[in-house]
Amino acid sequence: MTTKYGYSFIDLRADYLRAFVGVIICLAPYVFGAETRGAVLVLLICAVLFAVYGLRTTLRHMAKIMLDENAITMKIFTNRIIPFDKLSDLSLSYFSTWRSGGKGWMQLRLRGAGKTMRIESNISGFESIVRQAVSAASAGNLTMTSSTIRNIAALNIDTSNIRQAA
Amino acid sequence: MFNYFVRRILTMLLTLLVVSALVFVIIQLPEGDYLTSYIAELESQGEAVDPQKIAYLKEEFGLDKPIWLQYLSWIGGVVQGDFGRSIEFDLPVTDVIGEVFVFSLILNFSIIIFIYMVAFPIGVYSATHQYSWGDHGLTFIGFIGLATPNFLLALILMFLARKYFGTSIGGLVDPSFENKPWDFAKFMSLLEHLVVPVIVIGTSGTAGMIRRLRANLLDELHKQYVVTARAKGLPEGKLLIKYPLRMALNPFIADIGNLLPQVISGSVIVAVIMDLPTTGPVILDALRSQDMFLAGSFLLFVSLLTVVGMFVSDLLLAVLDPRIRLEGTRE
Repeated sequence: MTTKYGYSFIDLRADYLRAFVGVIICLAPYVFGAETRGAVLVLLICAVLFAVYGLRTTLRHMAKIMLDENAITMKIFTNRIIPFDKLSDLSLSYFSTWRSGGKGWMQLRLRGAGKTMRIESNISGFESIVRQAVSAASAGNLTMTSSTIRNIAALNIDTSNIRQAA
Repeated sequence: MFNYFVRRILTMLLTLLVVSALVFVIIQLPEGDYLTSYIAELESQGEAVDPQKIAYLKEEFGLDKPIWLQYLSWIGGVVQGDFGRSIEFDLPVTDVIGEVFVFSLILNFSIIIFIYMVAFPIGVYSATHQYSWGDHGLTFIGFIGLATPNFLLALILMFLARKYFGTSIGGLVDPSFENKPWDFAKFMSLLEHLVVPVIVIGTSGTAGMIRRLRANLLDELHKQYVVTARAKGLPEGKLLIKYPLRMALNPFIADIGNLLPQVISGSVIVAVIMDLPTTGPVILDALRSQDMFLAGSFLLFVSLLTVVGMFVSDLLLAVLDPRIRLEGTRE
């Protein structure tokens, strides 16, 4: 049975807001007629970064993840398929912009069959995707880093069958 | 990773924006403004206050406008490199900062190098010779440095430098070199005058650094990989430098975020006592006289260095220690 997942607008509204606020802040001096020198130049470069971030968010918004017993598929414009028996690497990272931890986000990265797939934790059903990917990775006897294993455990997923990388 | 960088940059930008607004508001919180203080000063000296001049100054510096308009005008200039005009000095802020900024950089970089050069070997020695006489002695000296008030040490060392080396009191160069172009003699005078402030300010920083390096290195030295490396016959020096010391360096790198702003604003009290031509006393005066453009520019620059320093130290840590990545574990 194939299960479909996707990023809804609500899942991504914070990212859209970040891109929008970033572009507005960085372009404001230029729009109001500031000379293109000093910090204005740096801000223009940052504006491009935020625009790319916005574009990536839009692409994520368009992405559909399809999961079945045999493979995971990500469809944006074309289908990107990683069969579970070809899965060669799984990592689950946690990012936070605050040193003290604070509210962060997770990213699942899957590699296999010459393809890489990155799925962020704001997608609905993230835990189910991780659970199934981890199950496939364990079946394939893949090794994982200690931080990946701890992050998997943080999602209340059983890690007893996972092999830790040396 | 791209998402991390973008979010981090946005956090930095928003932090700076909020800090700049807060700085601008806080400087103006005390009743009145620079001109109010100026009028009071003239009146206390029995001088007549020319209302036309005051009105002109108000218009010239935009003090008659609402605060939010003053802020927008100032921050708009800042992003273009125009930090406004100091009301007190009646000069562009960049001109006021000018030479004191250079002196501050020289002094504070010398202090940072002094702290690292002293703390590093002592910290390593203390850890590798734990509980030895040398360890206890150096730790004791470190604590004395931490416990002695900087201004007291400054006064004592200035007296000793004057008595035994004939070094003039106060300043970073001999008074005879002030306002003169740089030459070798002036440079030597600078080096001579740097010794006391570097020791005074540096000693307070070394103790903390020694303790942290010692604790970290001891922690690393007791780990199993060190025992394994020893068991495999790795020479002690190579073992120390290649593995545990590298890991123990993390606090040094993590400190960059705190050190960078200190390069500009550090050691204000010692600078005032020793009459050093650095940025510290200028910031203090600007805050006292509500010279908002000068004080605001300084504080904004300090904030910028803090957030950039934190970002750089995070990146350096990730490069230095393969175990640290910009990603981690959700606890």
